[in-house]
Amino acid sequence: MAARLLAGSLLAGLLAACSSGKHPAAAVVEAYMQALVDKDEPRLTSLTCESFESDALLELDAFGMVKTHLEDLDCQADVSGKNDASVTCQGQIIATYGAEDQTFDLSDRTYQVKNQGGDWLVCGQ
Amino acid sequence: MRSMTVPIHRWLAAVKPGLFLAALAFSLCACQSGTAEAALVQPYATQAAAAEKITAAPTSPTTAPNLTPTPAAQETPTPSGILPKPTSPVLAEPAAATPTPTLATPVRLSADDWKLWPVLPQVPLSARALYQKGLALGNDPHAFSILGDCQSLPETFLGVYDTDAALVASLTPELQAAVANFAGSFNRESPTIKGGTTAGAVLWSAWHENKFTCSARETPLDCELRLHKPSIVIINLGTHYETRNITYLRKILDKLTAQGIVPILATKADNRELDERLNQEMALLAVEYDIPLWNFYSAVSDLPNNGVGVKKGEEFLGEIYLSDDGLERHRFTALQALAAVWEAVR
Repeated sequence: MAARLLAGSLLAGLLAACSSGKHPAAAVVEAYMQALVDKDEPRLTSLTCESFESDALLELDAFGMVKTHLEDLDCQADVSGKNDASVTCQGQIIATYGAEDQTFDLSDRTYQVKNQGGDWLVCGQ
Repeated sequence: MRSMTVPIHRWLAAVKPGLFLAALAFSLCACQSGTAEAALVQPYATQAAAAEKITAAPTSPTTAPNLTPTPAAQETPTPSGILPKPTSPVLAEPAAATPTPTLATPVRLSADDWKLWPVLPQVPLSARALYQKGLALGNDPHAFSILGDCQSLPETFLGVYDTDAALVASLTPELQAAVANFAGSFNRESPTIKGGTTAGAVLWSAWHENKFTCSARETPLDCELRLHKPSIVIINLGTHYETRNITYLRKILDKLTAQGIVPILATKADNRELDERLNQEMALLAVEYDIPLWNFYSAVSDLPNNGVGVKKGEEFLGEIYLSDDGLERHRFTALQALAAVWEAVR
């Protein structure tokens, strides 16, 4: 029964990925952004290369105690070779401090993503 | 006109009479306005050995009070070696009202005793060399910058010193000289001052939102240093903090000192972190880097709730907002701290 459920979940995941056409490199950057606004440090570091971890944590820490959420996030990967991709995104991080919203445009960033042992990881910006 | 009168009677009423003379002597030692040499102190590591006496130069009359904590712990250490709880800060009377004493070189207490540190910075001897190095590198002797959150915004903090001529005219000559020297820096918006700013945010390139002509690859700190070329930077951070706060503060201090900029670290009034570790970190860094510390905490420790409370509609942020009295002391003691450091290093 458990095996069936697992297989079903995997199939559903694959179908979802295929239907969205999202490359895993783009998906990992979107997951990174979500972890960032959720301030989920373990998740964030699990999605980054070791060499980029301090940068990722700096991004996380910069939002300190402001409330954050994503708006209209959509990332696309430009894959070069088997294991490297550049990912650009549209959308914003909205950080709310008191009654003031600050908008961080994500379109001016390019993330370097690498496939390391089968896992796509954010390794640079 | 905004009144800058410090409520002397309230502070004095809170102080035990027996401690007043000690506080007065301590303040003369630590806060000699217009006496640069007296304001300079030995590097922290060597202060214990700095036993030579210096004679303080006569000070000019002043209407502004010198703010110092009562150095009770220095005078009456407990047998156990545990320092007693510090008392409220006191106002020493104007320096000119007392005979010129022979003063010992100020000795810094340990970072653990940061609550007993004087409000105004004791300026290490090394700060002058750092300042001179910065001038040689092109820093502007007429510019200072602030790293801070919403309580460092010009309209809340120091802007009045650029905009209120009557207020400036009411200051002591020493403070007026500092205001004149740094004209334009007080009421200036900058990429390093924004609501919610943490130490990490100052180092994160997106935090400036590409405003102030900062580039997308430039940190707010780098942008500010490029735009304003300050010779002194007040680090007024800590209310908003992160786990790696001290790591980021070290990066900030490394950059500032490498560029010959004299940092002034500040303690804060609130205790949002509940264990006061952020103020202690500031004291640790002041010792580690041998740089001045403006102990704002001590300037408001006699106010109800340390001069902080919640803001309507932002209760979730906790008791972090300065009261009117707190704000007044914030801006006034900041100016005193800036003037003291500038006087000592120039």
